[in-house]
Amino acid sequence: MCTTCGCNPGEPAKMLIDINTGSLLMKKPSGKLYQLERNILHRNNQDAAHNRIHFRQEKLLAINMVSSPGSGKTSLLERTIRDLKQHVPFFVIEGDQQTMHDAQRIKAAGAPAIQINTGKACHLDASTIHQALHRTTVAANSILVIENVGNLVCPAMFDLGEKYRVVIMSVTEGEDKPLKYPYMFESADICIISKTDLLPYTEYDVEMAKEYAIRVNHRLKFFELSATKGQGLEGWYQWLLQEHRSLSL
Amino acid sequence: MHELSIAISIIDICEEELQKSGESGLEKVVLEIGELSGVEIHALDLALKEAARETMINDAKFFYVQSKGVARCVDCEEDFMISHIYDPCPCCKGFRTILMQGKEIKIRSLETR
Repeated sequence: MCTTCGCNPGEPAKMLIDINTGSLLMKKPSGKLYQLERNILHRNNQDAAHNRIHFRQEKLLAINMVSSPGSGKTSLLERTIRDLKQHVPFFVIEGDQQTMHDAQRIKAAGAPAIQINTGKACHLDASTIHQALHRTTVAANSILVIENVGNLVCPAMFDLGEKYRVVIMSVTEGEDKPLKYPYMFESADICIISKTDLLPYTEYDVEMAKEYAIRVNHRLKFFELSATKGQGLEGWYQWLLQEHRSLSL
Repeated sequence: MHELSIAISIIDICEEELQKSGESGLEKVVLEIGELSGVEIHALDLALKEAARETMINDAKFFYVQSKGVARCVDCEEDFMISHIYDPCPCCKGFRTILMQGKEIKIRSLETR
């Protein structure tokens, strides 16, 4: 089946719709017609590819962490840095609409960090990361964590050049987050279920949450952990260290 | 509201192409937005009207083509239409699927005045 021209099994050809009038476009063009077929995210994707080359050259393991606000991205990062900084250098790019709070927390945990304030924007894009990297020095062989703006919608479609996208959902949220926000879960490689120490106090069904996530993306790899109590961190750490080792291969 | 940054990219590309063409203005812009792209056409349309204001293409009309979602089952090797990313394979009811179509966000064509 052709996946580009728009012909679909059992469906009429795609229609041109003016959403304001609902009318079909059948008229012959009056001016000159330019067939562009240009991906609108092309520029972001190019910038992401450029970042990816940087990361490979400098042997950086780039991870894009995404989640809804309050699912524990920064807490997990703080704990990870405290526990692993003897073995691996970290560098963190913090994205938030406002405040320097998260970068300060990461620095207090013992890793260099820079804060990007997106202002009104709801996501980080590849060019923002590129510019941020030019204003600072990241030690070669580091794990570079980009903590995206807390938002399960907008950051999904912006590739930053990361090697892995890690999506976090906490057990204080609904199990059906992956179905409600499928684009993010579809684009992720790793899914962390966080705050598992709170499971006795919630109705959250971990198996159901994983089942929903797998419906959206069967390639997802899961870690269940609690950053505050330390449960389940070994698997996450092993994965990080192994990925970090494979940088120098 | 990622539609606004997408709208700004569209306007940038249109202005660039218009300048290249040497024509005076754009009549029509045809966009292809996949049903599973995560872009809401009504929100994008609103954002485009804002983003186009006081640019070279402020009076262009925007048209939308919506491409349908198509997935392929890894096990059955069949393609089938989906309306959600999490729709299972109609043959084996499995979820080991790969998205083949429906994520497009692109400018198909421009028509000058």
